[in-house]
Amino acid sequence: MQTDVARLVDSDRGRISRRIFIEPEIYEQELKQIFARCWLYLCHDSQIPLPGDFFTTYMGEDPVLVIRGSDGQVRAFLNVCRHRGNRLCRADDGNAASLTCAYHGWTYGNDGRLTGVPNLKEAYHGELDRERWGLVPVAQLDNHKGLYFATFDPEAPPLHEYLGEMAWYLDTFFDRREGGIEIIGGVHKWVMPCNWKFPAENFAGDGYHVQWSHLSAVRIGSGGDFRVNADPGGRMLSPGNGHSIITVGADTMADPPAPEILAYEAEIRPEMERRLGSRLNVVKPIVGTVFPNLSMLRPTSRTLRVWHPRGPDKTEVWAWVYADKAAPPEVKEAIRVAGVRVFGPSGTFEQDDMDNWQGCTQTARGAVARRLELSYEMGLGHERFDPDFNAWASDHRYSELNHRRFYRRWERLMAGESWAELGS
Amino acid sequence: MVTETGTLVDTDRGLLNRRIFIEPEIYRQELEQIFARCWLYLCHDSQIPLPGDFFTTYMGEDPVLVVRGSDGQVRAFLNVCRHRGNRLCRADDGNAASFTCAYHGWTYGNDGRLTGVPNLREAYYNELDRGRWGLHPVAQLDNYKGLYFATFDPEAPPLREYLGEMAWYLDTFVDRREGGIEIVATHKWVMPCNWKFPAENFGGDAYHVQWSHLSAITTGFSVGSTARPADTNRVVSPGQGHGLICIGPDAFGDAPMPEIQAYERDIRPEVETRLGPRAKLVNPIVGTVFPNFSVLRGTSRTLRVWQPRGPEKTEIWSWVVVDKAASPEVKRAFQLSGVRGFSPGGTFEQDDMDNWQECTQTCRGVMSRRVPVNTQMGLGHERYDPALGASVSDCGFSESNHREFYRRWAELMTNKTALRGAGDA
Repeated sequence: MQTDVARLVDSDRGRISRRIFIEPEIYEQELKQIFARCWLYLCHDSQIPLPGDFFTTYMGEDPVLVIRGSDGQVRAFLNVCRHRGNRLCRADDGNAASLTCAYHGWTYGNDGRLTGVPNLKEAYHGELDRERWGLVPVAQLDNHKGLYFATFDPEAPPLHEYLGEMAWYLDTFFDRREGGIEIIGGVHKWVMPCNWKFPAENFAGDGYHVQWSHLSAVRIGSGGDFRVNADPGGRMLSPGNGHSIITVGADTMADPPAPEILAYEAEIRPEMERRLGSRLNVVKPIVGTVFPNLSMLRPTSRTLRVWHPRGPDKTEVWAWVYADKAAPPEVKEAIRVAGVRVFGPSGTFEQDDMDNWQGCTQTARGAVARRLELSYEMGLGHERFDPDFNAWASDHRYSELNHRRFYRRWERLMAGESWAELGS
Repeated sequence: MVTETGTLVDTDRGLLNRRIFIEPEIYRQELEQIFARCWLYLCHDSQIPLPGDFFTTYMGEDPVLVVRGSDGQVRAFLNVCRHRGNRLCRADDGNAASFTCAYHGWTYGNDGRLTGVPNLREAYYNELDRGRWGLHPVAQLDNYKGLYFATFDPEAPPLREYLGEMAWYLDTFVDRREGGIEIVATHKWVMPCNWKFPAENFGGDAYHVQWSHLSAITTGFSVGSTARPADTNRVVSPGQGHGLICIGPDAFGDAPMPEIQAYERDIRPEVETRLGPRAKLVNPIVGTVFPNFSVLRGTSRTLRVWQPRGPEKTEIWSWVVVDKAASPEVKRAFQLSGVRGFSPGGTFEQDDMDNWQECTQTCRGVMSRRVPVNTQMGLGHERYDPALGASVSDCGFSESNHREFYRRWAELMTNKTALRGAGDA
């Protein structure tokens, strides 16, 4: 039975029911209508450079194997053996010519074809149609500047159309210099007792919490003073399709406060401007969310992260620290250190956030507390479409504009609208 | 979807379907129909004596803040910030003029009004209606002899009517002497059982004492006053699902400690004067105010709330209480007997928890779930006793209170209205 979410989300008035953060039926509907339809982030090209390289991840709660075949082509499949449905590949990443299931030994090539079935001749009498039982591929797979995305929906628009204007904003994080970015170190993975939408909306447009939630971390010098001090150039931007960006003024300092990083940023500025164009003289994107669950951040830390849903009140964070590939080793090291200090299971900022998101989720267990509407009214009516940014823009650096656009998109996808009906 | 719980509880024949102890849908219905409607116990007046004093608790799974405003008035609210729904106050108790949310800094006065919104002028353009976004209050709050109760249902009858005849029985626990009671110990812990097992046990299960607690009684932690169905013992239902176990007026249920025995002898005339003639007929020693507030005077003196935490989890909040007018040595003796008998490591509590856990967990099986449980003891042998203002069993062991508890439960679960009077004796 499908819940009529239109009654639960009133983005025109900035009111949202807390039921969407706790009810199992709504969560099941999200897995189908959001996570089985949207383009979801898989991994970065630099993680699977060679033939046979693979990386295992999730799309919603679906386990997914991303693998570069021996032919050099990258493919993505459900990481599920077709015989009995066992999880096929157990490693986080690695290199393999083929993958063999731990249960009965069915074996798949790194192009997804079923190549080995023990006792095929005697027990299956040679009658099993192996062609039919290869790994199940995603419907579409594409790559934007090294970021691999996939969708399970064959009807979904192409990736560049899905990203739309957000592509340029992504470039300000991942394509600032020749060679793009690379992932530094491994992945931090951990589970938070909160609904996945709280972190997604927070990175999408919550500039407001920094001055208070992170006050102690800011005071000890972890960075983020750009939010505590006045910044008339800051804006919330919604470039369409539910994607969101938080910006500061073009000249506002918004990097991890390490001398190596600050010097590096000053040095590469001319190159960046040539590459990204004049919009960079007006606005500096610092945090954002690609709808639904990929977020990125560049001040205090440089992190790229996916909020994997794990039930209505659990989220598994997968967070990577990244740096410009062309940066010198000492800058990469400074970025790695800043990344681990500030965002990560024990990061000074991350801990503040997790505690709040947990409280926002768990108190909705109550039958009465669940009936409340939350206020997403900040700056309502004070947004306008700005052609310079090709995005909806707030009038003030604090606004819940992006939240409202995020939940509008969420509500329309949940209602099962077609991609044509959805528009941007 | 509402489960037709009427078919699951057959109190006329004393049969209960075990689905009510394990199924998530039924549990959710309980949160709506029982916990969001009934009067639930919050805290004792002595815990929040001064302006600004607060205590955080739960009503069902709803977090609740009870706070005495600077104006001296006690109020209770959902302990939830209205902006993003974060838990507002994180402390167990304390004193505060205002409460500030950890996420974005929205601030509420200790009267619940939204007083502070960071960047109200620039970011909200002064357009946020602060009058609309104060803390969400309970529908009704009242206090009976220092015990604060609240309900989320504006249609619920007044507290005094909800308690009905149970009020006198509560007096025998909390109003025996001038000044009432005070708290000398607090324990909170989680048990892997459905909340109804402890609630029904304290509401009328004398039967288990002779067997479950045999070793604790043999060791000398208790006189085991309910362990034998003495002629004078009775199971008493004062209506509306409330229930008690009473021993004879001359029987002694407290822990066998010399200080306590001497104290009880000393104060008996005062207690009888205060409680009136009925105290010469019965001595109530354990009971449950429907749905999840229990009181105990046998072996230990405790007040406790069985906080539901899902179909198979219960968080106990237990307080050891003493008469405020008692001497320090007597209070110390009650504190010791309280912790020894009923607490996470209590000799009696451990026996009970193990049984309640298994009564719940075996329902996980689909076959076990289909087999009804039996609450037929003494069926048809209860009668209304005007002197006690209650329906009373014929024998010290009876499941008449269980049947009243589950009859009330089924009525509330199926009936959207008529909290008033339903199930009255």
